[in-house]
Amino acid sequence: MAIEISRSDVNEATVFLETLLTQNIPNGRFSQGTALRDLTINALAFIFAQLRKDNKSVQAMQSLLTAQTIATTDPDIDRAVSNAVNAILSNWFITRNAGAFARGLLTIYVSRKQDYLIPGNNRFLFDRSRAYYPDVTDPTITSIINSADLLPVIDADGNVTSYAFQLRVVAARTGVSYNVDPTTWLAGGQFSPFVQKIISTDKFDGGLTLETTSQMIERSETAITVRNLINVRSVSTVLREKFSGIRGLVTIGMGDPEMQRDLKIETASGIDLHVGGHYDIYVDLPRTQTTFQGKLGGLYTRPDNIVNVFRDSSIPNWTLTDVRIGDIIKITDGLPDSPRDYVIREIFLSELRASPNNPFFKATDETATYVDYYIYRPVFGPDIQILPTIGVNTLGETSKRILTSNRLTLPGGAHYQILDVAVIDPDAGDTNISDDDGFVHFTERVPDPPVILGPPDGLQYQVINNDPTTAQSMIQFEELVLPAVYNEKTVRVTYETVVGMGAIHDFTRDRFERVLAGNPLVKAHTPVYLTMEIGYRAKATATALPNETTMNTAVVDLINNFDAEDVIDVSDIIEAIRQADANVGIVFPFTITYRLIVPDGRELEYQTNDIVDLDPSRLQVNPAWTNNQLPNPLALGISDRTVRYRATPSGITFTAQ
Amino acid sequence: MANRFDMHIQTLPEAEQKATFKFMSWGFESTLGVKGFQMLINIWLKCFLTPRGSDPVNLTYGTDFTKMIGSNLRAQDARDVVVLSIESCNTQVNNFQKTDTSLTATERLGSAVLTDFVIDNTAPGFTATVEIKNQAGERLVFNLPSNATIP
Repeated sequence: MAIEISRSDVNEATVFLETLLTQNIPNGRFSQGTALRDLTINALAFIFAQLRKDNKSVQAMQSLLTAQTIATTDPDIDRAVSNAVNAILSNWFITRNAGAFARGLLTIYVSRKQDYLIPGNNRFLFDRSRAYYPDVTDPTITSIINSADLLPVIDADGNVTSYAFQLRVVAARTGVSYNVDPTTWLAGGQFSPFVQKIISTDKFDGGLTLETTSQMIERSETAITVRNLINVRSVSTVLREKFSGIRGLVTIGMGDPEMQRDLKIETASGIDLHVGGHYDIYVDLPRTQTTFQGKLGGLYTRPDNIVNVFRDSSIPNWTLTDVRIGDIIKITDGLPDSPRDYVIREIFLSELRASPNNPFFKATDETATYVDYYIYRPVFGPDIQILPTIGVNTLGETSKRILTSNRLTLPGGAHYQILDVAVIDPDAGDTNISDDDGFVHFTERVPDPPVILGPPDGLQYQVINNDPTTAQSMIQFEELVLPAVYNEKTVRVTYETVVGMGAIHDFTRDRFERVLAGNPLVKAHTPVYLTMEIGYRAKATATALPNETTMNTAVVDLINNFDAEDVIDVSDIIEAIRQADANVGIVFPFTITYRLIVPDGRELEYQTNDIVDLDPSRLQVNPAWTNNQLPNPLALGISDRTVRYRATPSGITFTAQ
Repeated sequence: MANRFDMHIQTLPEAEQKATFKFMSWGFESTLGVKGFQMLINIWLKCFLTPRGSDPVNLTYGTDFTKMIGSNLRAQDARDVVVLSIESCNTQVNNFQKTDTSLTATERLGSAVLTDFVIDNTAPGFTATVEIKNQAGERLVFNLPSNATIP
């Protein structure tokens, strides 16, 4: 920072020197016009003013309060102020966040159906100044696009004109300027001569510029705290310091109305009690799209790694036995803590599931060992042994892997809106096969077990979250259910998720970081997707047609960056449209439709003509649904603090009238 | 308050002024303190003989009197310049002293006026006589530029 002295600075210095010398040299006449003044005051005043200002700057640089006020230019870009703030805050071990990389999905069109190898250093150019690379953890890794994953692009005559696949890319540099809008990309097809074009259909997200001094000071307000995860301030400080991609953070702890995870049933009275010790950390992270592919009804490891599955290879179908929910598995040998009892909570064809709150000690199927057990029914009087009726079975296995017909266990992490569900290897002759790509697509998300209704209704799928209290976390146990005829088919699910939550989750659960008496869980916010059709008319004095792309971007940005604790309403959106394009004259009244992805796996739709909130009266009741009510959102941890409004460009449409 | 001293300065002899274009000097080997009417005269003369714009810390300080040296000003106009310079110098000194309550009456400028102006066409040049008074009623009449006092 250059120190600039003004006339007033010199005048102040002159007065100071005159006073100083007059007081200390009683015989000296330092009045204006005197030679003595010329020699001892006027000649030194400039130098003294410089030193005084320098001294003030040094003093101010020791205080965050004044550091910004002395900057000669923008305090955020003034290097001296930045350095001073860095130095001050380093005393509290706070460092400036370096920013974050934007990420997004590219759709690449190729002319030949074959495998494609994309090196990790393949540059994709949005324009001449913004480059992106494949989003891989190691740049030396080459991404392999299997020819089977290419989707044919078919024209109106039914001819395949090209093939397409999607690739996640990450910006070469940090910065918000890399959050680019959907468009056709400049270049990037050097990995193959068959590349026809590269486009992005959604705005890129996650790019953050180097943290500004103001933002750093704001973040530091909670810095003087213990550096572990024990209270709201410390959680915020530790995680924001460690993970620069976090854009917002809300911690819900004991006593907060949203805290439902610490509710436990007191066995004797049946009353729900908050046992405390739990806290949910909702982190606002950039969104991205991801795809998961697996066999419907396959064997999957529970994302929460709870060992509550019990199998016996000698019993192929548990539903044909006399075992009921509530019976007890007594493991007599084979586990370190045996003998011990486990209550049966669910019965499936090939497995039993015990309560996840009382899981087995370890998964014996991972070590190919067996346990001895029998199952009994607790009743008044002597217990009744159900299976075997006498003695023990010796082929019992405990496991964290589940196998449920017609279900696909989704990997842990945030599951925002599902963009596509497809069976990619349907039986030949399936009437639901799409002419576009040869897959069977499921388009209707329903709250009940899906059924096949036939045209014009779309194929149904259901999402079940087995523990809503862990929804949108890395340990959430969520399953996708398809009609039974597709069991054992390969299912591909494309959905929105957030970037970087796994690392934060691991950090909070790390043995050396976690609070020993606490149970933290990192979650993504509960998403609410807004869609709307907006009619508008240009001004009579308009100089050009309103730019719908600009208006679309403005509305999407408004919604995605909206503070959920504030109330979003129709007028906010109208104002954003008018500001985005001055040629817009009238914005006609419109309805906002918004879909809440409930932690239990349902998707509920609301509509409003004014403000967006989760008032049950705004719920759009689908007569085909029987359980689509949400009378008490807080019972599922839903509040303004834990939801985030989301929008995608395709969900906002404009019509000139 | 009355025993406060400025450093004494005095004008150089006329021959030395002509040879060096310097006008003021400490004048003595050891520094002298000066107060009262003489201090006022020093202040007035220093301002009057400082070419305006030559003081780097105050570009408005001084007068245009010395700028006549070497200029192509007609001798007939020199009187106006002298009068204006005296008025400018008076204004500046008065401004200096206006808010300074520590000055005594002998140190405060009463007036400074041009009392005589004689053009010497042979030089070419002029002789100007200035009368300076303080607020205690003391007066001094001297010639410019030699500053020789006139009883």
